[in-house]
Amino acid sequence: MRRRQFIELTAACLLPSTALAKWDVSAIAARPDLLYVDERFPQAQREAASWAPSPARIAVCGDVTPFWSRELARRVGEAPAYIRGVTVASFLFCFRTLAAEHADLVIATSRLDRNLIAWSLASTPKPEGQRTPWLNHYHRA
Amino acid sequence: MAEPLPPGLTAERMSDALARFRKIVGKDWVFVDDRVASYHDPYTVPNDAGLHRAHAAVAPASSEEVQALVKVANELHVPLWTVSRGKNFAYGGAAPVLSGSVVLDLSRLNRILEVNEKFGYALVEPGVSYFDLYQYIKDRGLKLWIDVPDPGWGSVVGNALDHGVGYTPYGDHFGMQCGMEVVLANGEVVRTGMGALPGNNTWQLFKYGFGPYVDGLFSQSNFGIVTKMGIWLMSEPAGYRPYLITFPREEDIEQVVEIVRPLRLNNVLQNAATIRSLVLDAALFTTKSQYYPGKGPIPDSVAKQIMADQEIGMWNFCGALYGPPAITDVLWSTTRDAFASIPGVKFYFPEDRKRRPDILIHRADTMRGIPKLTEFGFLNWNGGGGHVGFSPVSPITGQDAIRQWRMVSGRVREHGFDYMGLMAVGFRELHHVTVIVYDQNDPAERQKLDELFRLMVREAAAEGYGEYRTHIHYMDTIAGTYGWNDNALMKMHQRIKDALDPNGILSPGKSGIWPRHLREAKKA
Repeated sequence: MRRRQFIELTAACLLPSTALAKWDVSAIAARPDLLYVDERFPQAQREAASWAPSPARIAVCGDVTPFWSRELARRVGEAPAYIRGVTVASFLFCFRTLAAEHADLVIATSRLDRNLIAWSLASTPKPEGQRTPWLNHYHRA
Repeated sequence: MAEPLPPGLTAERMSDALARFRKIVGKDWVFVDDRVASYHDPYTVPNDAGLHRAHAAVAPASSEEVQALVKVANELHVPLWTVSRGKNFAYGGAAPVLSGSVVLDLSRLNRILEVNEKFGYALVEPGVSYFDLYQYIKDRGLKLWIDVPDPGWGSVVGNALDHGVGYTPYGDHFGMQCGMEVVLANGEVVRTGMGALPGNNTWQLFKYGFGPYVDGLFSQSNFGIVTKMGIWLMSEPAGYRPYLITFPREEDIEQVVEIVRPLRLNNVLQNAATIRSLVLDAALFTTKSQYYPGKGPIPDSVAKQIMADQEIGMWNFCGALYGPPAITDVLWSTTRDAFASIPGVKFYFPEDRKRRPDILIHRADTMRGIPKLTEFGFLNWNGGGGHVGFSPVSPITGQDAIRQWRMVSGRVREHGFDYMGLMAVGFRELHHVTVIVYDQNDPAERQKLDELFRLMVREAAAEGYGEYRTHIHYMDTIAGTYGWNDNALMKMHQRIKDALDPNGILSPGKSGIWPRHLREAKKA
C-alpha cells in the first residue's frame, strides 16, 4: 500500500493556539522517551527498527489500558514528553483521548497499511487548574 | 468550516451568551473555534459535515454554575446539549443532535461525594468516570465492586442515564441508580426520591420516596440536567469464578438462548452474561487482513481457522459465578449440565486458557468490574475504525434470538460487513447489540452504512423489535418506531418537554424529543 503521510494537529486536545508555536513537529521524530510497538505485526517491528532508538521500547498488543495506568498517565501529566508508536489505530485513539484531558498534544501520524499507524506525539502538561483530578489517583497508586 | 448557529439565533445573541457564560465559568472553560473540535463525533456517520456540529462548549464546575448557565440560556434561547463526559463514542460522542447547540460539558463536575461500604452505594457527579470510581475504591481498600460497561472512560452517571449495561450481577445500570439531583430548565434544583425529605438518611437507599417516581423522566431525555446520582455497588463476593462456554455453529444460538432463559430466571446465571459472536471476539486481538485478504465478509473456511487459532466458537458465552465455593460449585454444575447437550460445546475456566491475549482472561476483568478500553480493539478489524451500534431488544427465547440473528447478520453481510454481535442477557430480555465497523474515511462506505442501518431499523420494527439506545443521527428514526396509538408516548413526552422546558433549551432532539418551536419549524 502506498504510504500516506500527514501531520495532524490533534483535534482532541483543546490546544490553545499559543501553545502550537512552541512545538517544532519535525523534532518529534527525534529520540522518543517511549516507543510502543505492536509486535503482532512484522511490519511494525521493521518500521520501528528504522527509527532513532528509544531508551524504552515497549511491546503492545492493541490495548492501551495497562500502559496508560502503568506509565503513560504519569508521563503526560508530569512533564513534556515525546512518545512514538507503531500500533493499531485504536491504541492511538484511546491514548490521545485519555492524554488530552491532562496535556496539550501535537500528533503526527502516518498510515503504514490497513492495520498499522506510525505516530509521534508531543505532550505538554496542562496548567494545574485545567485538568481533571483523575490523574492524581494514578499518582497515588 | 465556521461553526453553525442554531436555528433562530443571531451571531450577536450567541456572542452575548458566550460572554455571559465566560463570566460564570471563567474564560478558560468556554470553548470556541478550533477548540470545539473535541466535541465533534469522531466516528461521524453522515456525509453532511454540517450535521451534529456544536457551535461552542462550556464546562461548569458545580451545580451552581450549571444553574447560572441555564438561566442565561433560557433568557437568550441558547440550546445546550448536555454530556457527562462525552465518551459515548458508538452513539455520537459529545456531538449534539441539533447543529449550533452549545455543548454543556459536565466533565468538571467530577467529585465522588460519598462511597458507603456499609450500605453499598456511591453518590457521584456526572464527570466521574468508571476509572475514577474504581481507583477511588481501590485506593481505600473498600470491599466493593463497581459494574462497568466495555469502555471504562465513560461516566457512571451518563451511562446509567443512557440505559447502559455492564456484566456483573449489577449490570442494569439504571436499575441500580438510586436518588438524583437535577437542575431543571428554569434553574431550579430538585432532589428525587428520599432526597426531597430534608434531613433524610436514605436518599441512596430507597428509590421511590413518596408520590410519583420521576427518575426515569431524566434518563435518555432532555427534561433536566442530572448533577448528582446515587449508584448501588456490589459487595465484594466471597468467591469469583469466570467461565467461557463455546459453541461451534451459528445456528446453535437458538438452543443456547432456550437454555439460558430458565437459568437466568432462576438466578443460576447470576450476572448479565453475554453470548458473543466469533468475529466480535476475534477482532479484539486480531485483524481481518491477518486471515483474509479479500473484500466482504469472511468465508466459512476462514471462520473455522479463526475458531481453531483462538480456541473460540461461532458463539461464546462469557459468564461468571459469584459467592462462596459451596454455592458456586452447585451453580456451575447446573450450568454445565444444562449446556452439555449441545454438540461440540466446550467449557473453559481461566486456567484452561493458555493463549495471550485471550477473550476469557479479558472478560474475566470486565465481569468483576475492572474498567478497561480493550474492546476498542474491534475497531481495528477492518482498518477503518468507525463503528455504530444497532441494539434491538427481544425476549429471551431461542426463536427470537435466531430470528434476530438471521435478520441482522443477513443484512450486515449483504452490505459487505462482517457480523459482530452479542446478546446480553438481562433479567427478562436480550439486548442484541451489533457493532458495524466501517471505514470512516470512505464516504461511500458511510452511505452504505446509513442505508443498512435504516433498513435494519425498519425490518426490526416490523417484527416488533425496538432499539433500546441509538446514535444521535438516528434518534428521530428510532423514536418514530415507538408510535403505538398514534404516537401517544411521544405526544406525552412533548407535553412534558413543553411544560418543563418551554423555551426548549435543553438538548433539543434527544431521543427524538423536540421542543415546540422546533417541532413547528419542522412542520412549516
